[in-house]
Amino acid sequence: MNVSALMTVPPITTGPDTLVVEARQLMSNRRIRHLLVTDGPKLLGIITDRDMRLNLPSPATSLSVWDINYVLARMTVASVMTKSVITVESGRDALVAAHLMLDHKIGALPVVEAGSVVGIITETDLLRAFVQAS
Amino acid sequence: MDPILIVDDEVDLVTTYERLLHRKGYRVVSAGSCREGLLILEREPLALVVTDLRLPDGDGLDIVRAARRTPTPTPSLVVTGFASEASRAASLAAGAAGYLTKPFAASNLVSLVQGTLITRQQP
Repeated sequence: MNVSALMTVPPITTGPDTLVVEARQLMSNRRIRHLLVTDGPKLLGIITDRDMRLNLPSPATSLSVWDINYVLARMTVASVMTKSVITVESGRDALVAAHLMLDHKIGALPVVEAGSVVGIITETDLLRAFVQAS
Repeated sequence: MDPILIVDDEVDLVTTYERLLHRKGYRVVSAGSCREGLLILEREPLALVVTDLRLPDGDGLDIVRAARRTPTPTPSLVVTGFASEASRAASLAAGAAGYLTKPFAASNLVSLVQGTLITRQQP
């Protein structure tokens, strides 16, 4: 089965200058765990809910509440996104996507077609296919 | 079979719809606005309508209602990026056969389209 038959569409994207707090809100509203960062048709990076959590100040931080809020209010997705994004072509077999996710220990791959991002395939999509096939 | 009408102002998503449905053997016509969608509904018989809820010039529910008024009522599916219980209830009340939230799994869209068309064909 091809990646295109299993992917999730449309890809939810944001720009690199989006504030992390806004990106978190977008991900919460859309109920997604991976957000693609693009500049027009160009894929710049990917940000996950885990990236967000890891980049928040630790509860043990010595920063004051005001300082934390100051930092958070200015942090952009470009500063926390993963820049080296592994992608998969829409026409590839879904098994290739599964191997890429396993080999690189990642939960999602942007799906590209003729150089443009057309969707995203996640662990959930692969699990759904597994359940539907059984 | 008559074509499936896609009404959505996201050009890239319309292209994705077309690719997904073409692969399953369906013909697709598309409209980027409510007005354009209503014109196509008046002009040609359709097997199914898939419409976004928020269109630049109107409400996708107008498309759903118009589809029900065609000589042979055309089933419709609503797809929205702004999901809520209220919009789901409003869509079904307007006559939509199904409701899908963006982003959606391509396989779920195809299943919903196939299921709706099979239901329509049954006497």
